[in-house]
Amino acid sequence: CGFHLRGTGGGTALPASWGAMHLQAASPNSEFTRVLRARFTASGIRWVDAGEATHRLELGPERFAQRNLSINAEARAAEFELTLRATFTVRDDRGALLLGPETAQVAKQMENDPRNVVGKAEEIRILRDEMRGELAQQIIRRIAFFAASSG
Amino acid sequence: LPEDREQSIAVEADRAVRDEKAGQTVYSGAVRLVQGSLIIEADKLTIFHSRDLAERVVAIGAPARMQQQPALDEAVIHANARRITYFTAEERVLLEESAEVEQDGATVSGDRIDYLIREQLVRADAAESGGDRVQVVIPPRLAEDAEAPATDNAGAAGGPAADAQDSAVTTDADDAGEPADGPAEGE
Amino acid sequence: QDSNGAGCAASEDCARERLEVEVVEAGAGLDWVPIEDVPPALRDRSCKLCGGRYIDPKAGLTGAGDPEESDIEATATRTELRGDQLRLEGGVEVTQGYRDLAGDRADYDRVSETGKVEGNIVLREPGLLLRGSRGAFYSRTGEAQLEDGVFVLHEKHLRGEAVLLSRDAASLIRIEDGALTYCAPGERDWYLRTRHMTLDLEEGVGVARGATLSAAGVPFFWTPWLSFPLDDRRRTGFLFPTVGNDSRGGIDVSTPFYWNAAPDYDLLYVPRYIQERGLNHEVQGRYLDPAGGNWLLGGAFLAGDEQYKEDFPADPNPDRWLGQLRHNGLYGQRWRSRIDYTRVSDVAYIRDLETSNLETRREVNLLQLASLDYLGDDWLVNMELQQFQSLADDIREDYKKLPQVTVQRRGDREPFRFEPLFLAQYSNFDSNGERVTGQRLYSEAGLSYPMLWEYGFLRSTAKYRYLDYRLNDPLAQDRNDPSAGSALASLDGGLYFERAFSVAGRDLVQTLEPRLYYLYSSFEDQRDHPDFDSAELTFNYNQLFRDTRFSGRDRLDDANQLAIGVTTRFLNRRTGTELLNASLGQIVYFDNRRVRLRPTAPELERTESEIAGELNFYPTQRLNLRATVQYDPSTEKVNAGNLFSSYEREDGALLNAGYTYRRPINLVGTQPTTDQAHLSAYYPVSRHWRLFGAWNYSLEADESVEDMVGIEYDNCCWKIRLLHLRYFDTARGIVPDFDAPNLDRERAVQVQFVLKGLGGLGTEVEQLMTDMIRGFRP
Repeated sequence: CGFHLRGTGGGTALPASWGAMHLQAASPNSEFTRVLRARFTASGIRWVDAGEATHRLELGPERFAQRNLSINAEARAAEFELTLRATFTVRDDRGALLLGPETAQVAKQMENDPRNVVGKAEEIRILRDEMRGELAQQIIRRIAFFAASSG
Repeated sequence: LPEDREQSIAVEADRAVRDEKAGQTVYSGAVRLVQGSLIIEADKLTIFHSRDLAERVVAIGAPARMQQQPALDEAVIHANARRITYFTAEERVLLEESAEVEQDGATVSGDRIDYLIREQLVRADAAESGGDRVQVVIPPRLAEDAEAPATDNAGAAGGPAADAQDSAVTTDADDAGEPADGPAEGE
Repeated sequence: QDSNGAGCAASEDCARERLEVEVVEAGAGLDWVPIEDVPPALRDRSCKLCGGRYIDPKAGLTGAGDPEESDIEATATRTELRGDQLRLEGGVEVTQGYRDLAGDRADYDRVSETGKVEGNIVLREPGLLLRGSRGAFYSRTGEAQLEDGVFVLHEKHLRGEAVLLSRDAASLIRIEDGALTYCAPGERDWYLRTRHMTLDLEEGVGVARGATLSAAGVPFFWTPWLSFPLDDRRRTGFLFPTVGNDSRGGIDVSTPFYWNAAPDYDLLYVPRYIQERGLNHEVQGRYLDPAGGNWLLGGAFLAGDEQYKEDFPADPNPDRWLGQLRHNGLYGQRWRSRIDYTRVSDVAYIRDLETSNLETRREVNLLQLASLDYLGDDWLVNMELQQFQSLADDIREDYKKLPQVTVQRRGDREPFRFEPLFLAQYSNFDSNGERVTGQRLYSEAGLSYPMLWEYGFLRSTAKYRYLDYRLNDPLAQDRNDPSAGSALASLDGGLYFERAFSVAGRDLVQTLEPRLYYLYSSFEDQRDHPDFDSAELTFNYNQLFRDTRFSGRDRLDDANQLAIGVTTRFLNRRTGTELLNASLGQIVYFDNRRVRLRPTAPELERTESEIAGELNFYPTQRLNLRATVQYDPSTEKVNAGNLFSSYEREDGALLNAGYTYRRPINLVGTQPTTDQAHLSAYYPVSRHWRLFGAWNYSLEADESVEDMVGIEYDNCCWKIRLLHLRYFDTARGIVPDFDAPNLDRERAVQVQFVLKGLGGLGTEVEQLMTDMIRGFRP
């Protein structure tokens, strides 16, 4: 049905010309920035200083929001909707804008238990961490596709 | 200078033709007229005189130039135009056709400019000549610090409504309220 | 003093009246362009509402040359230059850098660099237009004084007139005896007349003294002092009252007053009169410390709440108060601090006095947290104090973490390299109830070996988890100190298949991402373990690939299972943005799960988990649809599912529809089923009128849980919103339940009135709308 393994037929990994990148993050040591760095490193990117980088990735801070998705019979929050957003911009080595500012977003739902707030707070922590991975994946994919299509 | 008009007029030129009957002498070719601090240079200069007294000097050039020191402590006035007419008795200089007068950095340009030497007044009027409007350019005074005008506070560097980028009270510190990593970093 | 309509006696009145006509009535010569002549790109919302807008011929020229360093170039029909005195007459036009000045006659003294201009004066700078009959200028700094002045601030959408209008060097505009309005020319909806007013364009703040607000020429409000924002950079000044009525407290009027002391700190004081309770004083101070943190200290106090005395006669102290400290800081990119502490006087405080934000109203406990994180290169250290103040009678206090310290190794997960895993956490749990408390030490150490190719990944992990308690249990003095250890191994692998194809002219790439996750962790009896901070994790697609089914760290769950999942994505081939992603998966259990949250709970014997599905579909920028489902093949029933779609149109129209269903199967305690539909909309019916509403309907109770309907009239220079809210509330003292007939339904009416240009704090109405209509931005 036409499916083939990625990479064997015109892969979407980052082309060699994007090999050396510089990351400029609002908060360079935050969890989200580290997850993103790790993901980029895993797909073959070298992080270098601005001077020698072929491309610059500017990463805004992650925005986490939690709202009630539904209300149970006791008029209490039955489900939460968690959203995680981050904006990113890509520039070339001279600082000219190539892509963005774009916003990547991930949304998840989870069940609330008003009788166990501490436990549910820990679940939010786990979900938020997983959402960071998915958000980083989304950003890499968009940059990879952009790099592939813009040659 | 005020006493320029008593000075004698000396003229150098390549050629000079004196026509007693018409009461005029025509100089041409790199003409240079000097009377005290007043100097006129032109391609062709005609002096209309009666009884050895020059009444009117007409200088034509591309452009003709003129300069004079109005007073000892005043800056020299430079002027040029295609036609400069100097009425000695009235102590008036008429500049016509792309006329320009410069004094202490300020320049006035237009089709017709009158320069009244005794009153040190440069007057240009587009309406009379029907030509286009008069331009004036004044450089900013960078040298000494001019004192403040009538308004109460001495002016600091003014400027447009520059939008000061003061960071509003709440900045969004990094991921507001971010607890530590969960047990396993999700794939 | 207002102008008398009849023939004007004194010349000053005539000037005033002519000016007023010119300012309020006419628009000509004030850079106002009717909407038909406005280029489409500039037709923003306010332009459509006002039927036109100011167009600044000098917009964006600020860089074009600072006047102070530029030549003065003038043209006129007649000039006279006498030494340093220059006189210009006849259509004088002067430019100095980006500053233009025009007038009938002008005299300029080069020494003092001052000029006098008379007749039809027009002074222009980017963002500013001044007109007047007579004026004086100081060309070095642009200071100007104009008599019978008219001014326009293009970006601030403000114009006005003044008997004496002056502008000082720091671009502060001073208005003596003048008026100002935001409305479009010809609209007399409102204008502000003042004895003295200053507009500080640098700070974006206007201050008026002796100010009278008139609507349609009729003065309706006077204040000795009023400050207002010139742009939305900062809230400031006297802000607009919010009027409401709530069945819990009757008439509710609050008049916020905001004082901006300095760029980095401000104060908000809100006296609030509640009919059946009394006068509540709310204060909130915000401070921005230069090192990189922001602080908010807030509080409210209501002495002798009448209604409270009736509701709780037993409580001797009827005073109600709230204290709040919030802080977020990031210092040197290494130390991140956070404080979120709220404390209230009694359990019913939020329900009674916080009618504004439904989100906070439904909170059953208030977070009281202080945390400090060290963001190291290789280590992440978190120190935290966390407790909750319970607001519900039927829920006992949750455990307090006083403190909890977590040290975690931060790896880079480089492929094809072993990565050590390490996490250690010490927690001290306390509770003011008669319950077990104690200290817990959790640690895990192990290795992971990630392998990554372009077409797939394989990550194997092995780690050992150890848990140790020091307990003291008032109910069982001889309770021993349990501990447990469990080895864990997991293998997580996946492949990426792709194919390119096009549909409806769009070049897409469809991916197929199968994933297998085998998890084994050894069993150890933990029936004597307490439960401090653990909970059952919601079962969804993410849960398939987690190495635990409990949140918190009180349980080392046993597992021998294989999760099978597949994700497909439709991606735009050029930009990589996701058009659709869908996932489906299930866990096959090879052993029963014996570790449970409640020690007495039976083993879980099912051999297959529910099927978890997830779908996110974004057909256009404006429309999105999200759905999740948990289907139980053994009972052939859906245990949980929800569907949510939202649509946003260019003109700001919003439409959301959602359905959510959840049958609690493995939750501790009796949790009622949720079966609920949601609808919300914010819909412009005409240029000025908008309807909005939100509606949560519980199908299982066949009752509207919460509904809100509202109407908004928004014109060029003012806006009014009226909102009616009906909501169920957790009745005091008894365990609330939907089907109980006496579950009282509360009603609230809120009114928000804003004079555009004079500012307005995001009031309760906006918070309610943001809370109930997804995607609404005030």
